[in-house]
Amino acid sequence: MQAPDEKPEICWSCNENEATEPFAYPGAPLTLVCARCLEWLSMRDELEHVLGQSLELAERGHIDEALERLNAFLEKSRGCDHDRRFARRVAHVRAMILSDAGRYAEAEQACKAWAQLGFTRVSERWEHGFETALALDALGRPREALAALEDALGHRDPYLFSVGEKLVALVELSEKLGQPVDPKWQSLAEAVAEAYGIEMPAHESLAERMLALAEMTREMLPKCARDSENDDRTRKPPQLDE
Amino acid sequence: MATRLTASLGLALGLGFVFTPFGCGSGPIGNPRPSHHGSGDGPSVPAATVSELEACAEHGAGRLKGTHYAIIFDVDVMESGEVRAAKIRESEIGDREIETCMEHALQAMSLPGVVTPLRSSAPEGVMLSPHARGAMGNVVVLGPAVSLVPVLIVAAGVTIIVVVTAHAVEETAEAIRRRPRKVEKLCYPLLEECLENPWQPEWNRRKFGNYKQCEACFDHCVKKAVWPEDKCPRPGSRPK
Ligand SMILES: [Zn+2]
Repeated sequence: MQAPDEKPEICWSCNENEATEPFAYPGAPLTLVCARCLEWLSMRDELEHVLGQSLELAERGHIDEALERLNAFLEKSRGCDHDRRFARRVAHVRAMILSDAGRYAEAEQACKAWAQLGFTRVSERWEHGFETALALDALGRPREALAALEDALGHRDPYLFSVGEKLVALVELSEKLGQPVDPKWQSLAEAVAEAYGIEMPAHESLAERMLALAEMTREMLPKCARDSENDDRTRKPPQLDE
Repeated sequence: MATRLTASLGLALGLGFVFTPFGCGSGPIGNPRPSHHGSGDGPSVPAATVSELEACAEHGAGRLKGTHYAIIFDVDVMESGEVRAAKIRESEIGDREIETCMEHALQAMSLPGVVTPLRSSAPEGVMLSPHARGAMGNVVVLGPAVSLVPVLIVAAGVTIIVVVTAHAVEETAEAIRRRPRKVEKLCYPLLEECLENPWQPEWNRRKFGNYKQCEACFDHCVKKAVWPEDKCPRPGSRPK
């Protein structure tokens, strides 16, 4: 019971509202959060569960069921998805599922709807550009596919996670159109080598260098994400927004 | 009741079925290997797998209300003949147990010799085939599909046509490089979030130190498909 002269506890999650609701991470002590955050935190947990379930359903061929699961979550979470971050994650998974199912026209539409939600992170743009390129290429529109990919890669992602697939796509789409990889992407190749702490491969063409980089980084995380590199914590997290 | 799918399959596949009546003393044990007939002779579902499909039907046919059903599967076959994945493309059965049972039976079969002819006619370097990223994992879908001789099962008065299309796939380093597993795609945003909120909450510091081991948590996420919130608690919701 709160004494009359005691200040109300503030919710650790939003640092804004009075904390009234019990909440605990698995294995962690009970804390108090505000009602708004409790709903949001529960929904965030459910989102991860739903995304995993949907991918699993899709892998077993139950595509429509997987999509329905996503739709049901969107409907349920609409009220508390204030910054649309749940919707953006759902949009990504929807595009992946449709593309994997060979439903490219729908995948293209899903990518359009995803873009409508806006992007708050460069990595989202990259994934969006990549998924869009997959769909457009499969629909026989490699020129648009390359444009979508290049547009996304034009925003410099500070993390460069799973960059290999994007480099390979860039090379293959360029080849498909009978053109070399645009030399402007040399700086991207250099950024990848730097981020992953590897030597730039000594191939003659940019395309070959990119393919070699893709191969070399396949099982790696960039330096900024390695626990061994972050021991002293002197490194600041990368620049967040564009 | 012949539905749209069964009717169209009947027409399209008039080339002949592997006909496997079930029940009335013609159970899978001692059932001779189903024979092909008509002009549709070609690669077929192995006898042992046909028996398993029959068993699936036998166990569930009693639940079905209609008399005729069709189910179409796509299977991805490695060069060795190993089936990497079996997925339902379309099904009229609507009984999860029968469908999953059949899916498992097809997943366990081996189709040696079916893939090689596909490869010779496969286009070079199928680009960015997203099919290859899915259930099939790190494989590249190589070429045109081959329809196996359809299997016709009769169980407890219910007829089920099982149509299987084999797709040749090849596991290549290139394919692996191209397509990180999808679960990784789910974990990357959480890794970013962790890297941007690297400090452990106070209540976690005695157990896990001052900073989150985001890489270790990411590895856990990729392996177990769940982010370990005990080791790397996710930050709260900041009001916009
Ligand atoms: Zn709050």
